[in-house]
Amino acid sequence: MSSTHRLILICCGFFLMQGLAYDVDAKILKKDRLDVFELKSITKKRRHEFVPQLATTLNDPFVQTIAIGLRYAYHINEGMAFELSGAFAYSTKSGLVDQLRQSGENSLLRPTSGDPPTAEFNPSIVLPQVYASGSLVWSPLVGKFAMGREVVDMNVYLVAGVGYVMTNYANRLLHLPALNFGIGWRTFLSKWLCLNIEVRDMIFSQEIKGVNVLLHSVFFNVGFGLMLPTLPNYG
Amino acid sequence: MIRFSSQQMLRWCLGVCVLVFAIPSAHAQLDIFEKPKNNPPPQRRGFTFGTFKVGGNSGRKQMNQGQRLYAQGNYQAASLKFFLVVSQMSGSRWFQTAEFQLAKCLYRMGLYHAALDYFTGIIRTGASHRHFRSSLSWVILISRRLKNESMFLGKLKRFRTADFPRKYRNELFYLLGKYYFQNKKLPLARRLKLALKLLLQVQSRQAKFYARAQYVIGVIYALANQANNAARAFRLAATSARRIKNKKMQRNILELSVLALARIHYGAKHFKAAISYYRLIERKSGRWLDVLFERAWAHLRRGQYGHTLGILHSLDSPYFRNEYFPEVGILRAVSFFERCRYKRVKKIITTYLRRYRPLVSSINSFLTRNPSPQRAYITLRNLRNQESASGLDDDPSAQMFQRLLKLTFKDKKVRLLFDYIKEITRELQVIQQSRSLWRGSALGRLLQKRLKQERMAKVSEAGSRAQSRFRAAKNELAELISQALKIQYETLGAEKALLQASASQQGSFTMKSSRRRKRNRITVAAPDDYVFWPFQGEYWVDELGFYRYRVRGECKK
Repeated sequence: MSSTHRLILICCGFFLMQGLAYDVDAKILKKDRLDVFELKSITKKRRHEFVPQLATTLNDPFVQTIAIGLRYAYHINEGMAFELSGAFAYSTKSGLVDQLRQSGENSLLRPTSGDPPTAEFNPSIVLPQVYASGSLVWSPLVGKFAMGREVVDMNVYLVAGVGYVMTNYANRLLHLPALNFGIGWRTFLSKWLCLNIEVRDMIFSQEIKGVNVLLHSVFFNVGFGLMLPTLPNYG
Repeated sequence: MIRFSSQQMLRWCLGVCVLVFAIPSAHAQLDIFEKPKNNPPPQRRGFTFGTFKVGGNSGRKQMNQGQRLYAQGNYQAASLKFFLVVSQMSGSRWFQTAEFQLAKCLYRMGLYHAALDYFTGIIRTGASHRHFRSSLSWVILISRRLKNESMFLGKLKRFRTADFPRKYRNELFYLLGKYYFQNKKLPLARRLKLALKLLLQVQSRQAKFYARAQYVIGVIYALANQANNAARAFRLAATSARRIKNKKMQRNILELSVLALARIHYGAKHFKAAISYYRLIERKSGRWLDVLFERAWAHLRRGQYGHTLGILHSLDSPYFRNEYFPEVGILRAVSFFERCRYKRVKKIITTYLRRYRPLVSSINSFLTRNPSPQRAYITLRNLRNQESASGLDDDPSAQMFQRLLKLTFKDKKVRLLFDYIKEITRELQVIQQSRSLWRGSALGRLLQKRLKQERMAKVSEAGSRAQSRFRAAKNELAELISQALKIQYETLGAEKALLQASASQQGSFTMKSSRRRKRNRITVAAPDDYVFWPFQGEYWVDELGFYRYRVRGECKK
């Protein structure tokens, strides 16, 4: 079995796990037991979610990006949702570039081309301008925590999808296809408002001095989600 | 030349005498109230209204002075002026206005009962009274504040509905209808008929009265065993309640209507429908515990013992440790009995008897120590204050008694009576703290006397009501204990039958063999709207009411 087939099987397994989990946990009733079948105080199914969000990159020491965006998700059921998101980014070179330039530590800078790669500083840093993506969201984990007498619901979700990135490279705007993967944490503050915290990786390929480089923009996103309709759907 | 007849001369003399004696004393009184700091109040003997004659046009004077003092906000002085007219000029043209103004003064002074008394007096006079309609409005205002309409409603029944002010007509129809419904002096059939007649006149445009009227109509139909009509009325009440702007009232009527619908379905043995109605009541509702308990019964009747036991587990949680539900033990025992868990049943019954038998003794001792209603009231009042001050006692028997006490105060009538007495006591304090002149006046003394009489009557009523609640609780407990003993007896019988049957079939029998069971596969699959949590000994407030007990059955086919 090739590694691709194995990967597809693992992915299918993950998607099916939610349904299978019940049978895995089924036991023979040897003694009395007590469980809780709790009606969810907040449901997501058939609800729209609008999330204005603020993001910053975590992984690039040379470029500092702050993005403001909007995310929209439609929850098909409790577990799955479609999502569209877009963000405008304000990218700047970080102070580290100037520091390295001044200290003459060019050898620490990223090699860009040549064999063996030159240790010359690459003055054309890629500056992302716009991000957009369409993804599938899967919420495999639900949880809750107590604050006094209030119980707060939360869930963890995974995101995977395709996207688009517009970058500024050497004063040229490039439109690039991308993939995005992420993990997020949604905490319900009320029946219609939630706090979303997520880490998302936008992966795109860019040609730099004749070499195709796979670039990662790992974002830390924070946003408040507005759920519509404001009351949960049951049934 | 001027000529006087002897009759005229006599009139003149009398008039002059009255002016000489009456006017200075009236001014003296006015000065006392208008400038209390500059003129120290005279001795009480100089401040009696019976010392001077009021004649001629002094009624007008008293009224004018009273009005002026009222406008100045000197309600005590104004009330004395009006009271003078009310007490000494009952036939005069000023009497009715004085009566009305006096009631208003008393209201402004915070003496609501006294004011209500005077306004009720006006209503008793009827529509011929100049201030009948205004008094009705005032009475409604005060009744809303005191949450007690029964004082004046009895007087209203004699009047034509056309006499009711248009603004308050729906409210009065509703209140009067409710009054007839609750009036136990009349035979049931008659009081239901009268109430229904009035309640059906409430118009739907005022949702807050219409919804409440429909609810009472539903109750009337339910009492008359007309379940369909009752259900229709309750549904109407629930739908009209949605139009009420006051959220608290809206929720209250909605809950009551839904609860009534659930009970109707339960009564008709539609347990599934009853359960679905019970589920509509939210956890934050004050009625939620009662709803939960009733739902446990509905599940039991459907044979869903796991649900019943799950609900009982919620009721036993630390969140509700101060609640009094003596039937819980019986329900639990029945549920286990139905699954042939006889050992468990015996254990439950033993615990139940150990817990509740001492409570019967406690109630007996309370009733013996407090034979009179007054004494019972004083003891209960002290216990209530103690409970709120120090929380629950550590002694389990005392804890149980305090739970019962809490239940007693859950009784709306008892609670209203206690609040009513508290209000009267407050008004007596208002009189005590008023100026000595006013307090010592005929009006002050009269009001104190009336309030004390009222307080005494209400203390007696509250004590009596509380005593009857305790007696009812005792009887109910005795009944439950006898049910527990019956279950114990049945359990022993079932065990004996089981042993006999097994012995005849197999020759040798051990109880262990009865535990051989078929393999019950269980699932923890939950529908989309539900979430499954295993119970691990922690009580989460959001999980209350959602426990599901998987009870192992030991019945042999």
